Amino acid sequence: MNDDRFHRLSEYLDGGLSPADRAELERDLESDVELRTVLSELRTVKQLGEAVTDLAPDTDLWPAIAERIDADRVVELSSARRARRTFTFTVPQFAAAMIGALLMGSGALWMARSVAPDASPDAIQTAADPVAEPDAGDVRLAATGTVRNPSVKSDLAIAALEQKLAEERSTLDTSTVRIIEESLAKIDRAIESATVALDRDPGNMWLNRHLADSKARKLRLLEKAAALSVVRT
Amino acid sequence: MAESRSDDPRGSPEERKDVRRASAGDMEAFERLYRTHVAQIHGLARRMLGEEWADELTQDVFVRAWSKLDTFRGDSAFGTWLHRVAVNLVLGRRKELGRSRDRFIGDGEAAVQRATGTMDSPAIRLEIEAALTRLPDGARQVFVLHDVEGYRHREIAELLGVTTGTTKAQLHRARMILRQYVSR
Repeated sequence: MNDDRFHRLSEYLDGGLSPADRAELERDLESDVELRTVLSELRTVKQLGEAVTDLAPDTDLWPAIAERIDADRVVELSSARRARRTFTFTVPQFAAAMIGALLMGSGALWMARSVAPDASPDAIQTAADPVAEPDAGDVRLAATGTVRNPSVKSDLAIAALEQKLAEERSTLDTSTVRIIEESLAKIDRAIESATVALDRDPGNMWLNRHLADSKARKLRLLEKAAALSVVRT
Repeated sequence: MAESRSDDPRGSPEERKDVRRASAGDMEAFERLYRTHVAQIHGLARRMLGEEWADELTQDVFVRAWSKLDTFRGDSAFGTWLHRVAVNLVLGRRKELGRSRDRFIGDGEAAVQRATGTMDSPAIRLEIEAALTRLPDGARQVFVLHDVEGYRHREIAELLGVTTGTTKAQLHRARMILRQYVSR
């Protein structure tokens, strides 16, 4: 099988041999049964390769793709806004933006305290949220030492940012609002599905993680949207 | 390759319209493009990288395509362009994975066993697909690109940064291993 003629069979099949080489190989094929057998098998392999059928993936990948695209679009819009506004920001505008951000943070803190005024650091860690992971909300609110439950903190931060976004909705252009709202609606659906499923199966680790991830995604999206509105103020 | 599967080298009018809409930010149009091409892209990813990477890479391809849509000039069909985006991502991922891939046994020949189905059974196609994933890396990528996807040796050599002599040798090697499936 190390015979050079066998090595030429693939090129012969693909029409890659020179006329002289092809003629020589065809003469050998007439007299060599083994060579003909291998050629026949290689031809079948080639045909099987060409006939391979493409099948769609078992799971629909579009929701995940759409989500990643949405996130990228918000980041792009945010970057574009920042770039455009760099040279038009006045000192009073900057001061107003800072005050807005400060108020937003204070609002989240106030809401956190109003929900759990007497809670000790670990008091709200409940069995209903066993695997919620630390997220951006944790980082922002952990310094208060008031609330340690990641889910509650995420909810509070989300509520504060949603309120902020609702108040400043008019400062954003229509297409930006549409993209943000579409993205939020998708994430809300994911949160709702996970919540409903968790009602039936509260101990399901995957569902808990999925819910925590969805809330973290919503928080990140709202933070980006809030940053946009602050810049436009 | 997509080029050889389409009558119009620039794709259908509906698809060209969807590409224009998607370029302008229309996600529904892009979803239609996704639905049309996902099977081909997923198949390529599965054959080149294996089942475990196929979903993730397919997502990467469409996210990358979305972000690069403004570079698509429409000289070729969208599917051809998308396929090239996918091949580049696949080859990049293969490089990243590098030597961490340890599922290839020896030179691959030991991993390929005689097909259990007959030539006229659909099962043999599935078995060939399974056998592909166990071919030696170099032989597999050339076989998939040449015999399954329809690339020419010159194009494959360019993509892989090797000579056409190398791609021809790898293709022959792959076919010789796979012929065990069909030998009587």
